[in-house]
Amino acid sequence: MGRRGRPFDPITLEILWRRLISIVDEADSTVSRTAFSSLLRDAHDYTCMFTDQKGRELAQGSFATPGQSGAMALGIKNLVTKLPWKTYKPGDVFITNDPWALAGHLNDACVISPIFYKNKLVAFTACVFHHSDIGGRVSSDNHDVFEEGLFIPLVKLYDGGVLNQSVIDMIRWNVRTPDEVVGDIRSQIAANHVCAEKICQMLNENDLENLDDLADQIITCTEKSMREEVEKVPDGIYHAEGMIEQMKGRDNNIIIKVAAEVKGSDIIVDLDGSSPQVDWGGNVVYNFTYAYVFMAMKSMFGPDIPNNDGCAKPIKLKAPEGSVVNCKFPAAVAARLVIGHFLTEIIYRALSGVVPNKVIAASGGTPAQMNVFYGKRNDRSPWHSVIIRGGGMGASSISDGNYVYIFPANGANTPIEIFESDTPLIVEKRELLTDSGGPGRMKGGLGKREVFRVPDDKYAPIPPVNLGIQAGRYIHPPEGLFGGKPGARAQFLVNGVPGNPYGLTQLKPGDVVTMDAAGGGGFGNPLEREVEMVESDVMEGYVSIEKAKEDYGVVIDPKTLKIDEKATKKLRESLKRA
Amino acid sequence: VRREKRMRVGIDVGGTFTDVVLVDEKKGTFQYAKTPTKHYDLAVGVLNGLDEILEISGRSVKEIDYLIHGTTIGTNAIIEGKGARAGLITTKGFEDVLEIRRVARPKEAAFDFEVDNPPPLIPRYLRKGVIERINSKGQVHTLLDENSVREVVAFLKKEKVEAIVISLLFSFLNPKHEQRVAEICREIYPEALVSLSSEICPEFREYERTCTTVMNGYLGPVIKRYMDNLMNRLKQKYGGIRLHIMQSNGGSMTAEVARDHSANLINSGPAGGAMATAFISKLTGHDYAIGADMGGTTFDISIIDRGMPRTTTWGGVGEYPIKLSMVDMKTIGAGGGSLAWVDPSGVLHVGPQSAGSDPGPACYGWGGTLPTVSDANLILGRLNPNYFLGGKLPLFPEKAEKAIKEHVANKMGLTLEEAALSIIRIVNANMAKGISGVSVQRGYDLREFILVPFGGAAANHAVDIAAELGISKIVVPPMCGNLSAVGLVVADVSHDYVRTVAKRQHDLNLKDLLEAYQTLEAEGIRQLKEENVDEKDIIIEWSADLRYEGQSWELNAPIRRTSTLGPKDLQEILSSFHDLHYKVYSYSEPKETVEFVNLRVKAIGRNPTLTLPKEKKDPVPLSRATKEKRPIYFKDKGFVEVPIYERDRFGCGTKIPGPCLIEEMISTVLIPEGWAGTIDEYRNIVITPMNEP
Repeated sequence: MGRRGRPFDPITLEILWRRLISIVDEADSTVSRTAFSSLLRDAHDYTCMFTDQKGRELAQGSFATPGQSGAMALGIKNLVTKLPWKTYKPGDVFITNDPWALAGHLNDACVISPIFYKNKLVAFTACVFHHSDIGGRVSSDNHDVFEEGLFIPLVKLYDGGVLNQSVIDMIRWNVRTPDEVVGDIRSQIAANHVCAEKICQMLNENDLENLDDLADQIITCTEKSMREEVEKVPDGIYHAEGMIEQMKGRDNNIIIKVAAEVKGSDIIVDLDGSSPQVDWGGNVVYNFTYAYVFMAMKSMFGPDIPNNDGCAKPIKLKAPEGSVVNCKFPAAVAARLVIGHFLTEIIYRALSGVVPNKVIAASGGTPAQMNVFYGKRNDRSPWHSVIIRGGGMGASSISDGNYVYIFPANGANTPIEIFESDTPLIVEKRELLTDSGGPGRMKGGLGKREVFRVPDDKYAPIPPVNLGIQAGRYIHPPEGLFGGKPGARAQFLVNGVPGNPYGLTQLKPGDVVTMDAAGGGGFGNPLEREVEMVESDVMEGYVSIEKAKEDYGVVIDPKTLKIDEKATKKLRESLKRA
Repeated sequence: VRREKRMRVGIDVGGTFTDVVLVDEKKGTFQYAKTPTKHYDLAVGVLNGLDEILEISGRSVKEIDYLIHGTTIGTNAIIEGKGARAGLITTKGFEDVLEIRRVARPKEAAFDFEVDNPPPLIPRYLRKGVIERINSKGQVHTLLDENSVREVVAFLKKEKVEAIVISLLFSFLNPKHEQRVAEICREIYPEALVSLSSEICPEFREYERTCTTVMNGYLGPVIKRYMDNLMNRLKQKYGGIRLHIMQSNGGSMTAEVARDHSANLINSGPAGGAMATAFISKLTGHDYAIGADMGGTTFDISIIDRGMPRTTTWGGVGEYPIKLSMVDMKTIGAGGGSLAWVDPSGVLHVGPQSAGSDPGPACYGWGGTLPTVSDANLILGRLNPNYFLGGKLPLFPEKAEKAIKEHVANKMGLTLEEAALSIIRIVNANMAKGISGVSVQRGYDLREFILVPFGGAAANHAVDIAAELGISKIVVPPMCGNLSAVGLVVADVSHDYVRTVAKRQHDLNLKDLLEAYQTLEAEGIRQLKEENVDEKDIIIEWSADLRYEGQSWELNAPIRRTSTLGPKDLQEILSSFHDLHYKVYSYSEPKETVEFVNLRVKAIGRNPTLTLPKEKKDPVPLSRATKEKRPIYFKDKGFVEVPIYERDRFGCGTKIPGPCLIEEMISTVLIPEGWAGTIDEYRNIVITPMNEP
């Protein structure tokens, strides 16, 4: 309750609520400006949040990575409620990268700090960073988590304000780039510190003892908004099945089955019937599966509601234990995004029949494409860099898919001028791929081509240059919806010949690697796309003259780049009849 | 700036009005004029403004030796997508840098797939690559293929682009290829305006650099046409008169220079407001101030730190980044016209959407039916329906009442007044949060700050905002509605120069470093002299963008100007960086290696400092300034009968206890209970808590 034992009036509530969000945004910007690895500072692969003293998420950074944020909301609650509260002291800081406890692979390490105000526990603040190295064998084809790197169970990094140097040392000796990893952990501690200070300041200024009553009201209010939207969906059980390609040499696909039951204002998602866990790194822990189921629901039913514990209340998830979407320890999990990111689009497909205006077709940025490059320069100094690539987004009922985004995850690219300064490689191309967007009444977003060269001149690095890839869409392209066609497939070429896009590739000076990201699926029948839009697509080089004719039935004069209206009308009529 | 007659005129072209101020430096007097902005030809409005101020002041144009102009033409062209048809030349393979951007979805779009970034300012078919490559060490990796350049330029010529933007990879380390491409452009297509990224924004990060340079090309022809038109008209009517233009960095430059640096003119108008805030804070003896400009649709915040507006090199317009030194303005969607709305879960929001001037707030009676901040102020008695804009615009309380009842009060189960007050509290909280975001979050202690409200709507909200932020002094300047124009005339001429070095502290050659500073400095001095600035008025400031090795964001640390640079000086620079890092991020790493990213030089041509005559104490009894008594609605109190004063009737030294309302032509000052105002010797109203002197 508020200051006088009454509930906060709606105005005060909103003011305090916004304050909480700006606190976590501030912590967030501290990270991007102080972190050392380019994956954090440039690609923003991290998430900051805080909970009340019961572990219920209250606010998270506006620029969150859905996989981390959804998994944290669940994971932090489980973690902090495991220990009795009295064991926490001011000045404690915890760290863990337990994939099953939090964000699903060892690289995502979480630093958690209990926050005390007037000697009482009032909140927990936490941030997950994707560390670009965590030791181990960097590849998707490991057989269990032991091969994948250092596993840090929940341990104290600081005990009552005293640093536990052994933990730092242990991390230092298990990773390839110790300065960077430890520097980034320091940045995590700083982010938590900023968050803690500001929360206490806010309590003090508003004459509050703790966050409990405020949390109750925020969460209740949020839950209500979500439920109101879910309630509008007719009751029923809605099914879809997703087919995800496996590593090269394995011909069977991974199947994910979704049965989404809408019952009043609740949605129960059951993944029963999904494939069993696999003997490579694509396995997804429950938390991470949940995160991308949640991502789908949040984007459909409350895209602009601030994210907190209340958003999750109407959503229940059942995933069979031992399946690829709820794997058991010690399964290999490093490449969990390769399967996990698909949950969002499969949920969209399941519900597309009842809420066609709230979904998009499949995206080329599903899964996000992680590329880990490392090796030695010609002076023997080690180098290491991770880039994330996106693809074309799926189209929706009212708009074309956006180009080259990472969806449903989020993140940013690394500027070429930074990548080349950090590595001995040369980037030869980074461009949109014409015709890669799935044709539709609304066109799928374009994919992108990036070409990397290992120099063979005086800057040639000592071979091999290692390239680890976590990606997908090489076999099954992003599908369209309601008559929309699929986007272009992804490609991975080494010196012009298809390479193995799933494991570890070793390159030598002179090698050229081409990586194409897939385009998004189209929405609706391409023959119904407005001809002027096709004309403009051709003008801009998004669609070629040939494909305009073949896919859209629009005839463009190659000299003037204008529509031949008569020919178009005739062609569209004949195509519609066919 | 070399000047004898000591008469300055500032002309600020706003969306509705063109504000003009004339300053007689010798006497220290200000005179003001306001004319409607002519959207069909902005130059006409400027000339009308000049005519009007000459008439009011009885001066001739020959007596004016410093004419400065602030314009939003750049910002508007970007927002409305009305820039020039431009072409972009990149390194082959990177033509899409403008469209791929940094890949990141907009911040608000983490869960909203319908939100996208704005379209690139140059369409894909006008973006062409040339064969060449510089590597990350600044060496030529692939020679420039001049045939590929000629082909591309011929195409752009055929497409009749007005501007060509050249942005090649790593040109900030080695501009030779860009320069050669520019030569070929000028040879084949001399009519096009050519912008080089190595000249406009010689810094790393290809997307940000390209986008900034594209701004220059996109705006260049528009601004050049405008400047030429304006200068021609000035010449025809008044003979030769040197025109200065306000830049986004808070300094001015001559119109001739401005024609080639149009990217520097974005935010030219609001920068004037920030300079004026600095002027007021200096005048009243304060080092730290928040400038709060609240108009119809936006609330522009500026920070005055040690007497000068804070600047940034990470600004932008909308989602387009601009990596140039500019006054750090934060704009939020909060103004008199901001709309109040209740979302499906019953939460009240105000803004960022605005009723604008069409249809305008419901109470204007121009057809608006949705409730706005102005409507709420009217219902609470905080605006006078018969004295808005000095009575030129009658307001309709019944229309405000209907809008608020229908869209807020009934939906939330509140009375009319409670609903109106809620609207005000929310918009105040939004503005307070905006201020806090750019001050408290950057390590400033707001208790050291004064708040300077200006623009039509700010003074009505200022005390409430200050109270929420813990600011205990508000200074309401007398030229409140024309303050941006005042900012123009007090600004110095100023230019910024940058060079990327990208070297670790141990790899730094101090001789090269010194030489780089001296080269940039020489360019600054040359430029200022060309603009008629006297040697004695030139001030040079050095700074560097530094970071810990491995970080990717820099902090700008001031560097003492010196003629020798030894290891001791380097230590001094490094320790000031560690201190700064600690101040901004609450930790530092003195043992880590520091990287020098960019060197910056600011060249300033000082204008004589304006001194204003102080007024003698002449406190008047409050009764003499009282126009009437009117009920005003307050939180927890309801309607309270308070005195309404006319600002012009107060003399220096008058003490005005709250609660009361002070009306003037274009603004209304609310002093709530517990606060009191004093008229100072410059006619400012200084508002402080009642129990303090």
